Amino acid sequence: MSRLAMILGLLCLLSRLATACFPASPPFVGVATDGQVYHNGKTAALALTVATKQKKPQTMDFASSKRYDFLLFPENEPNNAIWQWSQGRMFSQALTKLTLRPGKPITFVVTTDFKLPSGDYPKPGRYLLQGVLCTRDKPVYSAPLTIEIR
Amino acid sequence: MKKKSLLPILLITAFIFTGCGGGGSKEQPVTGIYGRIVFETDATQETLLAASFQSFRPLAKAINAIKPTAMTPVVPREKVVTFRPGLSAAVRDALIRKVGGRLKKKIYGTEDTYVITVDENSFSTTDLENLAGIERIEDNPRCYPLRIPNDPFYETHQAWHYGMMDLPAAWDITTGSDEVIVAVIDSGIAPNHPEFAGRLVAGYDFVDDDGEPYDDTYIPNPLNPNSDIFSHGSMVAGIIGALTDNGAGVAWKVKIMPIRVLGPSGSGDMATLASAITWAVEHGAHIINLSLGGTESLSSVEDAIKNAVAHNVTVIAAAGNHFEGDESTGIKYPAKYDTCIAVGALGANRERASYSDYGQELDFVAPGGDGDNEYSYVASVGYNIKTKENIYVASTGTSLAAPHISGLAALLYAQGYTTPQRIYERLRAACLDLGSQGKDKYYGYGLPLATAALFDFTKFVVHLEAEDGTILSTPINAASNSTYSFRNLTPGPVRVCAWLDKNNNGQRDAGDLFGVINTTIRQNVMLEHNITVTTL
Repeated sequence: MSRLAMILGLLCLLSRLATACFPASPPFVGVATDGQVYHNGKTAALALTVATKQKKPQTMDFASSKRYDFLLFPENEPNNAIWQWSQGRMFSQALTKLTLRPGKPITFVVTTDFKLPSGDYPKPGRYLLQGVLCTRDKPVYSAPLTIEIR
Repeated sequence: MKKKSLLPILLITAFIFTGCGGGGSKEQPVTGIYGRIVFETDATQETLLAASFQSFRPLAKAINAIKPTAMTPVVPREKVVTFRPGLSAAVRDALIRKVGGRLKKKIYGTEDTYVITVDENSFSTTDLENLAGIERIEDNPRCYPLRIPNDPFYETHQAWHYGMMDLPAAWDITTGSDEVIVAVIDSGIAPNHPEFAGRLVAGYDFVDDDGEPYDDTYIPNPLNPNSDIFSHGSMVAGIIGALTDNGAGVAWKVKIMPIRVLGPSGSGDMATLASAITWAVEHGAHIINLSLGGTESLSSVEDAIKNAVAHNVTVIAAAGNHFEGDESTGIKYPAKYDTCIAVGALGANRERASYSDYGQELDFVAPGGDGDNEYSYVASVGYNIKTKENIYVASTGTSLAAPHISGLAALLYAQGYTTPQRIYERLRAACLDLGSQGKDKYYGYGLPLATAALFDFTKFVVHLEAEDGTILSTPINAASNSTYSFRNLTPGPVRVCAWLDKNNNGQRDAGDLFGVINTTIRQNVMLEHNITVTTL
């Protein structure tokens, strides 16, 4: 019995060491839209899909009800976000959790017309749309998606 | 003039000068008594009060002066005496007076057992025991009717966060008023939760644009799990004023005005918030709770809050939460506005919760939980939007901290502090200073303690009376720092009584605060005696 206990204890220790040395990989985050070209003022549907890469459920913490966000950048200015979905919005300030199960992605969908804080719309051109999963530890960004606004 | 005749003149002159208060004249000694009114408290509060002694603000100097008496398990200066059966009242009275005591009251249902008051400096139990006619003498043990909600949920999950604010003792002072309305501008409220039965006033739903601000919209599309399953608004409202006996709120009596501005995804926009604030003011809210926030300012919201304050509506908002490991990006809006009270969160260890936003605009902190263990969450009323079940939930966040302050503001309003300025002053003065001394960006002014905020020492009246109860002086109001003073008294035995007529009925009865000391005024001596008051 004592040998069994030792083995179990060792396995637990190894498991903890493995977790410490190899932290859980962040979930997959992907962004999609219901079209590739949008005319100014028309409504677009934006989707952020999140899936765990792990073989067991992965729980994520959020600092508020802001679980996701979307950013729009001019194609030639990938560091200059001109539009952000969460801008001007407010969120409940309670910590929340979301559990991702293997093989069961979750998709968040919003609609927007990309109106800027100034009240204008983005100038015609090509843009990069990026989604963000706003987890409490560290936000996870999707690969950017190119859309065109005319 | 002959030399001999000058001496009397010189002597008289010297006498006149010395008598006129020039160098060497002395003040006439005063015969009187002075001291402080001391609010007796228990060991639980003792720790909190002791920790706060060094840093109380102006009004709370009164509290600072409280020396929490080591909580004796017995009532001081009282004994329970059982006389031998058959003694006359006069004989009983004489026996007690012989040892310096005084009969107080008979224990209901007995013939010969009385509570007596004694002067502990002169009373001797042995002396009394030796008197023929005394069968038994006992101490009068204390019991603690601190108003604890009769909630099975309270002891296990809520005691820590309500206890941290000293609310159980405060509930002895007031439990609020049904006349006070707190607007909860949030995600709406559970439609028929028993915890809110009879305590909702009409609200508005700015998401659906109707008069039914219910938080019951669950979007079943599996691709769109935007809905929060649990009603945030119900949780917030429950902290402010859930019914006791199932899940306590800060204010046991209050009306909640639910206003929905957050949709099923848990988000809303600032423009809608501006409308909601104005709607709340126009429909009679006295206090507004905003457990929501964003990173962007909107002038309309700031204007709406200014308007609210101008109409004597106190606006309280959550400071905001941020990513762990990151520096806070500052207090979120609307808490950041000057006219809004910004509330950060404390964990169960009374330290700033790691997620709680901070900045110079932070005003106070209150329990928000840290989730380190099952019992370090803030517990409240809940509603499962998906299953439509009325439940209880536990959570963490500055969303939960803000309603603690809103509930306390409601209690203050019920006490007559009906402007944002006065409420703010009471909260500030009652703070347990945390973090750096004084106001700091992590804790603001600190954690408001409910008892210190609600207890008004200026309502005490103090008077002198003879041993037989004859009033010997005009009652005086205790000063704002809870001191009293009587001068130019006649020497002799006297009782000094301090009384706070809580129910304002002119009678010294149950619920009032009262304390008395027996002493003897001495000629040319200004005695110092503190009066310890307890709840009758």
